[in-house]
Amino acid sequence: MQLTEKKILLVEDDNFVGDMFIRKLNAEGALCTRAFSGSDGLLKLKAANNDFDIIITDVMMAGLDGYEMVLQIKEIEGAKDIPVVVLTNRSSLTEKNVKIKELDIAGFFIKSDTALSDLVTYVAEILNKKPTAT
Amino acid sequence: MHKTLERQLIRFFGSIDVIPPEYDQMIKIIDTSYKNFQADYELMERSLDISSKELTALNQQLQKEAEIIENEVELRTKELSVERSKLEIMAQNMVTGAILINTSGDVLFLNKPAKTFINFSGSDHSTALEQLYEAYSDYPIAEYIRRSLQKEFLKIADVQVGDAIFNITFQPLENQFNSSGIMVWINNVTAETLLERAKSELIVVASHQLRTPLTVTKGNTEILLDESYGPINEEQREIVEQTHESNENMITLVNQMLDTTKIEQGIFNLERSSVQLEDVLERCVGDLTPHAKENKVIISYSPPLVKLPSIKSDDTRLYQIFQNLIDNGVKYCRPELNACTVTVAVALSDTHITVTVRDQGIGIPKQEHNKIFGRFYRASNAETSFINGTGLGLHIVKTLVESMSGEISFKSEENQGTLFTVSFPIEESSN
Repeated sequence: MQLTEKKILLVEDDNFVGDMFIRKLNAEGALCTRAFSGSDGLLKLKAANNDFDIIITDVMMAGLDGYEMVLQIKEIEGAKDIPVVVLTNRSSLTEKNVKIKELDIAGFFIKSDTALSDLVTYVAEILNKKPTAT
Repeated sequence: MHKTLERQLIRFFGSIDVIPPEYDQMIKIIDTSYKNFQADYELMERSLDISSKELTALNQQLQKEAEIIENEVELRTKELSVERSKLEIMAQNMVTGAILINTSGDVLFLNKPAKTFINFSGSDHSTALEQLYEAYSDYPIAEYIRRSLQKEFLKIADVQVGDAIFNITFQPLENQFNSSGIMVWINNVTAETLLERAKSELIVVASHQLRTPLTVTKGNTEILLDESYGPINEEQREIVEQTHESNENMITLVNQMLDTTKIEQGIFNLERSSVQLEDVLERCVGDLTPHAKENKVIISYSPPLVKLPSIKSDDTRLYQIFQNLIDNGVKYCRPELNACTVTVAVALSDTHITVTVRDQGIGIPKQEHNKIFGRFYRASNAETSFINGTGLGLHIVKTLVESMSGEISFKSEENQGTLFTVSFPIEESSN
């Protein structure tokens, strides 16, 4: 259990993909909140008073997409320092480096190329590195 | 007696018969000199006559030659005007807009498409430049013309004007028209650009849609296999493992097909940053070692003793190249061998870094050596073996290597093994 009691906001519009991530994250002891679009993500963030250890988000979603949501989060006092990991199935590897710089995100993964165990390890490393906010 | 003398004597004496005999001697002398004069005269006349004939002949010849030349000139002029009108027709009816500007910045010529693109009508070329600036007012056209006149070859791509998209090229001319100047070429690339955009959009969407269900299968089989939701028995494990593995193969296929499509459409971008090749190789070997061990293959890699010079390249794509080559070495290991080794080595020369990947695999049949980099090529001796492959790996590898100004070659013998050699030019380290 690498993510015990970690509060994670998962933003993913695909039901099956979302279920799968939640399944894995729960098995690692995480406390997950789920959102289904960018705007839903912002609402859930506000409802929880920004109390998340990490945000994991998809990119291509109807309405507000993942990147636009991250841009808005970076403007929110109290939320802008929450690390964000982007998961996408869009096929651009070059996009990765651009977006990491542009959006100041903590990780970028192609979903179909990433084992869940690797994702969990990566997330756990980020959370261990980060000094816990009071 | 000379007739003239006879006439003169008759006029003087009335008749020849009355001339006193004492004149006879003198008259004879005069007669002789008259006759001599006559002879001289006739001689002169004859020679004049001859020269005049010669002159006429010469004149005629000259005239003839002049005619020939005149005909030739006429013919050539006609030919020239035909050529000229051909060029004129071509210049006017090109799809590309063309504007010729001399060194003083005056417009000497502009063709029909150019006139249409910049809304120019009339014949006074002096206003054409202003019209050009106005047509593309969002772009510093004047600045580009100025720089191009300083012999810089310049291009502005994706010039957007309303719904239309143009590429504008500024080409310095060197001694082509005795005086230099520049050509401004304007291409309307709206249709091509929109098609390209549609294609890449299609790829993005297709990749997303194909990968989503593959992601679900990948993740859920992994969750089942790690037994965090309860134990599974051996038989169930085998079923899930096979499902997981087929799904992984499908993911590879989708990724490689996307790569191929992107490469073919020229819409894949290479990053150009300074890369340490030894770092890439180390990562690659490290990542592939567990998988190789499962297949009883050893990957032998000794890092270079000195730090390699960096190369200007794309980290991720370099990784992809060597991952493909090393993984091939692992996959195609001869099943009859108890232990196979894939040897990765790096060599440095003054100009290049060369990486070799040598395996002890099934090799590539000689008659197929010219096909191995083609799309969907699979070695005929591999088809029957239990080896998963898409036939796209080496095609992608070659394309990637070449797009990085590198070279790839191989040596292979059936049932002996294959040696791939990849070399990249060293970045010129001016700073």
